[in-house]
Amino acid sequence: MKRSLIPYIFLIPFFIHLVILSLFPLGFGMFMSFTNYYALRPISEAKFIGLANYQEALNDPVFLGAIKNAFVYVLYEPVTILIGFFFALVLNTAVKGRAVFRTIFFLPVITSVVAIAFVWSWLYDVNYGPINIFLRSLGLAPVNWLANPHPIGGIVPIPLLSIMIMSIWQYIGLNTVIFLAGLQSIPKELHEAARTSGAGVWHSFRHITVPLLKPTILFCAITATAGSLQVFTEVYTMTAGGPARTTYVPVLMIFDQVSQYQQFGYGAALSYIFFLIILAVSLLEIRILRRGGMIYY
Amino acid sequence: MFIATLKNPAEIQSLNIKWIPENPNWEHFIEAWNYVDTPPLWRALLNSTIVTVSSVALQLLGSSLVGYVLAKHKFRGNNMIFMWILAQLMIPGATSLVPMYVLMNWLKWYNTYWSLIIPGVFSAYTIFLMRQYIITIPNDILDAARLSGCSEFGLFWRMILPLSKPALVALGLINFVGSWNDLLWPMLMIKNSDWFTVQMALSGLWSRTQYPYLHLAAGAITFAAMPVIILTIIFQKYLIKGWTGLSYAKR
Repeated sequence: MKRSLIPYIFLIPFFIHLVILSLFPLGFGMFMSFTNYYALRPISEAKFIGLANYQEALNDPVFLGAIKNAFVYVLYEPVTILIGFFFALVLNTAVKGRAVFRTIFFLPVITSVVAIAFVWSWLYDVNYGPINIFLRSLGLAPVNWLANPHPIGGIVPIPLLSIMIMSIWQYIGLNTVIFLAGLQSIPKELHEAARTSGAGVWHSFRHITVPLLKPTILFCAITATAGSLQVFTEVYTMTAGGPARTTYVPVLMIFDQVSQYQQFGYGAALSYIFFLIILAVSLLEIRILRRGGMIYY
Repeated sequence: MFIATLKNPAEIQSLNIKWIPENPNWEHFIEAWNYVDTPPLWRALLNSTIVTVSSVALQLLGSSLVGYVLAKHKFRGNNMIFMWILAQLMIPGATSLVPMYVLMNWLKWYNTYWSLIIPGVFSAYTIFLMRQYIITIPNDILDAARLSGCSEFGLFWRMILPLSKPALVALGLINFVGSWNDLLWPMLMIKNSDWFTVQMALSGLWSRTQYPYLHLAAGAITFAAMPVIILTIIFQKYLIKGWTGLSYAKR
């Protein structure tokens, strides 16, 4: 066998997979988004309707609301990163038990959202939830965490905030572990040198730790955004998008177009608009990364 | 507040046991085992195991083969494929959700495990990271093996795979966790409740549970979370190294 053919032979299954399960769906989705295709009818019955789906989507208050909710949800990220950073600083000074803490911190990250949502639904429960029991013991009125659509500050509905708090909690551990690895890669000599030249704890934190970890902070923030915008399971299991669509998000809407309404043309158009939004956000973030001095693929 | 909520389902279960002290604790787990019935918990766990184990095995094999060819073979189109892999990393999974649903129906893979296993065999993420890892394996070792008459596939099977063990274990675990915990795609694909994965069987359990049965539901959740937790504890070194190290993957 000629050696030059070997790579191609090895790649045959990959090529078949690539064409049928990657390239075709992308092209077919694009095609569908210009048609009124629905309910798995023969594809020949699909009617070409131009940009009508896109026009409808951009004027659909439900879709626009869903996009807004996804962008509000993403704000959980800076919070979880900051808390994770703080925990990493504390754990970094602890000599004993670091490995145990690392495992405990990692458990929420690998536990399924279905399981976590179950626990948090209990925590948030109006009558028996520990959070409301605690509020009552302080003499405060209980909060209906998952069903009261009242927006805080006119922007963040309480149920969306409740889901964000759950996500903050879930990802603190991941960020702590990543920052811990970053902190341990900073040579001790740097801090010692700073101390001998008279710098205080705050100064060496401000001028050594923070600049050296800046790439890590940026990287954590940026890699998580695209995934967070596509939030689904958290919302589906906690509130199913309700109440009054205050937690409705784009992926859940696309899911509904498929599983409930069977409006494939419209669903495909929603997917492509959402894709362009995520792409724009990612490209913007890569620019920030480059400016932050990170090499990115 | 944080420490109070830093609880996996297992601890919630133990909290409940404290509230109902007259019941001996271990029987709760036996009751919890039978608490879920669409499908029975053992069936859902078995389904998830079948799907997850075959997904992970096929993906590691398929994606590392592509990663190996991209890392160690010069041929026309190599760069183009690599650029496509990078581009694919930027395409959100939600983009092809609708066409994939239609395609799976056309292929008659709807309501079968093929639809959960096959699409992930060649994952851009795994291919990319395997390529980055394999590229660090020195060429001299491979040339020496070639000279002593090792076939090209033998090279992959006997040299590359064993040498990539740390990356394979880390990626295998990450993919295991991802596949075991996935809800969106199985929800779209599987209609017959006998075939439900464990996440499907347990999603919405909260709203289906009356308060007196809370501990049983929590027990069922514990069973569902256990495999991933046990694997994580066994392989924690690899996982944390993989998760943090791979996060920094850069060229």
